[in-house]
Amino acid sequence: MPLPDKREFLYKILVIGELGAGKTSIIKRYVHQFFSPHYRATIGVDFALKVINWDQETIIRLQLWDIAGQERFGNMTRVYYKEAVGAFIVFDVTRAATFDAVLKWKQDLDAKVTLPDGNSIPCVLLANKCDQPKEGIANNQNKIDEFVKENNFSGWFETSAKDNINIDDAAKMLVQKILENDKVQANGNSRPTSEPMFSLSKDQDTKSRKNCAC
Amino acid sequence: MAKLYEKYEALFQELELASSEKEFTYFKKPCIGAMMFFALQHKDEMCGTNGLPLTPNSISILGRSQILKTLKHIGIAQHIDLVRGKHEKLIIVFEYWNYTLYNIIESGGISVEQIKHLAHQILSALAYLNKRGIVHRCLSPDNILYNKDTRQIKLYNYGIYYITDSGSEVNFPIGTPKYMSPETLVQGLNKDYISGPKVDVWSLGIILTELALGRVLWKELNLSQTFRKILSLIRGDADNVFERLAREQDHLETYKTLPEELKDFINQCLRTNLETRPLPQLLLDHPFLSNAQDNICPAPSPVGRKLLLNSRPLDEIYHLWQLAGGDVWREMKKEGLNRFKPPFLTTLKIVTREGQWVGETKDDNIRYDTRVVSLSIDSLIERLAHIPPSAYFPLFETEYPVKRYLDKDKEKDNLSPLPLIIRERDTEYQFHRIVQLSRLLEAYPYSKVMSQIIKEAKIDIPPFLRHKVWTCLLHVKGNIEDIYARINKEKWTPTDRQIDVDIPRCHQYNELLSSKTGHTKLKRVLKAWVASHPQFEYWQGLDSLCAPFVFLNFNDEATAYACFSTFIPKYLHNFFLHDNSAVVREYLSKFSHLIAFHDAELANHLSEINFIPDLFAIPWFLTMFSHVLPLHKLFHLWDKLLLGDASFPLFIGVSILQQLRETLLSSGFNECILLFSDLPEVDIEQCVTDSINIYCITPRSITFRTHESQHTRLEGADLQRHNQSLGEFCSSLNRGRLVGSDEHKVKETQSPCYRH
Repeated sequence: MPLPDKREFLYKILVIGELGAGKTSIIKRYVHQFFSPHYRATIGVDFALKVINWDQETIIRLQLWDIAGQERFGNMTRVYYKEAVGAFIVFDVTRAATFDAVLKWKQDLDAKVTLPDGNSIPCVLLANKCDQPKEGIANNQNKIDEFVKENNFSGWFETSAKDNINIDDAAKMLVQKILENDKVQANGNSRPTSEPMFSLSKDQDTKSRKNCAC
Repeated sequence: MAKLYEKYEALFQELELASSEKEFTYFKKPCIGAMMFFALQHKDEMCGTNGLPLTPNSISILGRSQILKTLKHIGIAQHIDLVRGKHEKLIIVFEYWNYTLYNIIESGGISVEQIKHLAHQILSALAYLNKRGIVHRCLSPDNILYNKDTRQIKLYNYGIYYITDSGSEVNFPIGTPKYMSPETLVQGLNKDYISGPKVDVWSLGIILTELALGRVLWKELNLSQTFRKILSLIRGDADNVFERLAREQDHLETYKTLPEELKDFINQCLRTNLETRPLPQLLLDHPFLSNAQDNICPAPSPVGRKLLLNSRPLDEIYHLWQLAGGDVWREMKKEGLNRFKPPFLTTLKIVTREGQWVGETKDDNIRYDTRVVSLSIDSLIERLAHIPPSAYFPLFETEYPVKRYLDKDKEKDNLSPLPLIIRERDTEYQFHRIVQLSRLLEAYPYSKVMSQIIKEAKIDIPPFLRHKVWTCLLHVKGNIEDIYARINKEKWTPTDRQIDVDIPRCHQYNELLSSKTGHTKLKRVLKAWVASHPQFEYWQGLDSLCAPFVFLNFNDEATAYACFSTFIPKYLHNFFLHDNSAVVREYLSKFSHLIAFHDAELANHLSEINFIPDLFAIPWFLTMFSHVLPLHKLFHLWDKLLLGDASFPLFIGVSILQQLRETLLSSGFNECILLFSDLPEVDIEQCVTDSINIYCITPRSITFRTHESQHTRLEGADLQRHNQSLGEFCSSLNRGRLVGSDEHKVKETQSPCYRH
């Protein structure tokens, strides 16, 4: 008996955060398994496509929208945010100022895009450049845990595009969240999306250096 | 006028006659020398504090060396270029002739009068360098060129201490041991110690001692003995070092015959105490030099008796020499200076049982080699040999010789329209272009030449003069230095953080722009713009937009700034407002209109898959393509952009889409976004021709924008006004390829049909 056709999903994911935080580097590392310190600044929006063989019958395509760091101040972003189902907010652990802006990015995101049921889209916080010496709050993991909980992030990871740390895990977590939401939407279930349907922590603890707060 | 014309013609007949004479070839050729050294290599995998890899030292040196090109003084050899090679190798190229002061000392002393003359020239040159913030640090007789006929000197190798950040970026100590001052020797190899202008005064003292005594000091001594001699001068009578040197050299008799003023002069130079040793500028007032001024015999140069090439500036000759196939690395190799051994040959050592070592101990190339290689420019002279002398002096008022050459060029072009890239590498063609254009540029901003410059620029812009031509095309004139100097570029503003993040990512493949000097300059110009335009804001992309101007005017920030700040209102009026969305939206919708007007099929396809210009065209227009194209391509694009009005960039956008048309039509949304996330190879020459063509056949009303600057709409439309000649310009284009080209005769009054 032939196998059932594979299911395919296409998700639009935003990657946002202050300029120079390493959004483009994270995407290039994730999609092309490649790092170069010499990416040019992103103006407007840039794109990448990642294909994941999620399981035997699921293929997931992530359309990654790499949004320019300065765009938060502009009024062009609404076009970019439309129909996104997940987001990464990136900050740079070596520059505390980039963390201070995280909340503004999150608010901007929630104001401009929501799930069909009105809930905010899942969003994972990335503390990038963790291979470098940290500055400010990045040194205090408990504080970030709290921050993430308070502000309705799905979780957070310390990442390094240079040394390829935690990027795959962060993506896996975000996709997991998106799939849950999809199921919720499909079942017409009104359960709030912020409550996980099943525990993620088990398999991730073994893989990642620092885990999320969910 | 007719008389002048006759005179002119007669002069050239004479010149042409002269050039046919046999002896002509014996006349002095322009001389260019080259010298090689190595920059200090960073240890592998080193990163700076910002996490980015360290800039190679050779790049820092290259950046700092640019300023040397601006030094113009009769007493210094002109710096022409610094070339960067593999393995941190650097070649410094400069004006050079093969006779130095060392040859004079060797052949036994010279008269007191001549010493006075020399000392005066050397001090003037040093004082000039000091004024520009440069310390020579390796002044020695073989670093001083001497012209036997004119008795003129020129210092060379004066930049090495400055460009290597006081010697910290090279592996070798800078200076000739014998002429080093005691305080330099005491500091040894301490690279934190920075020498001031007084070290050169000491070196001058030793040189003059040798000249006055007619004897080479310490000729037989080895290095450590020489050092001991110099250090011994610290002790004892510090005010009479010259006499002690004469005594030690057994030349007391000669010493006694010298005038007191000269003795005092040399003693002042040789003060071991740095505090009391005078600066070069102060020494110029010494009584010994009181009547030394204006003693230079003018070089004998009867008209027609010199190689005509000498009438061109040296850097231009060097540029042409390179076009004619000249290569400094090859010249070095010819002289045996650039033979590089593979690393394993220099590290491998075999020790036999008898204790014998086999293998190289050290690569010679690591050491500092002061040998100078004279570049042979014979091939260039040969290449330009058949060019008649009149071509060197084109006249524009009478149109006489110019016309002849233009006609000739046209003929050539008609036979085979050579691609721009080939024309740019053609020695002879570039020679004509440079001579003609630089002549016109000299007359700028005289308004009469403007139309001529535009006419020439439409043909092409020689890369050698691009910075000057662009400055004219942007109508930059007036006291730009003053304006730039008055802007506060140092004050910290919150924008600095953004600029600091952006600059290390801006055109960093380019050597100059990736150097520390390049970063500083780019930052200063950007800050100047932000500071003097409070109504605007620094938007990312402004750095890319500024970079071409800084690169082209690397030694002239004021011009870079002036060009940059004229360019923005002309092409990007209000694009840098805090809220620029209305301007950007309007611009992008005009772009959509244009696509629809010229290529309905493509427009329909793009709107079907929802691939709107917002997703790909913002970096194009916000930076006038400077963010998406490498500089060498951008230059060709902007060469033509600067001739067009504010709507021209839209046509460039359309022509890029035209080139990618087939791919776009067969792609869905996902393929399209990926295609544009890195702009695919675009044939720029084709793109430029296409955009001019589309521009010419498009009614102006389509590109009317309410946010366009009223001011620029009226002027600067150089392309539109000359539709006719541009039609000729792009006649070679296959018009059939462009959809909508049938509407070539569309009149402005007809309203175009937009399709949304």
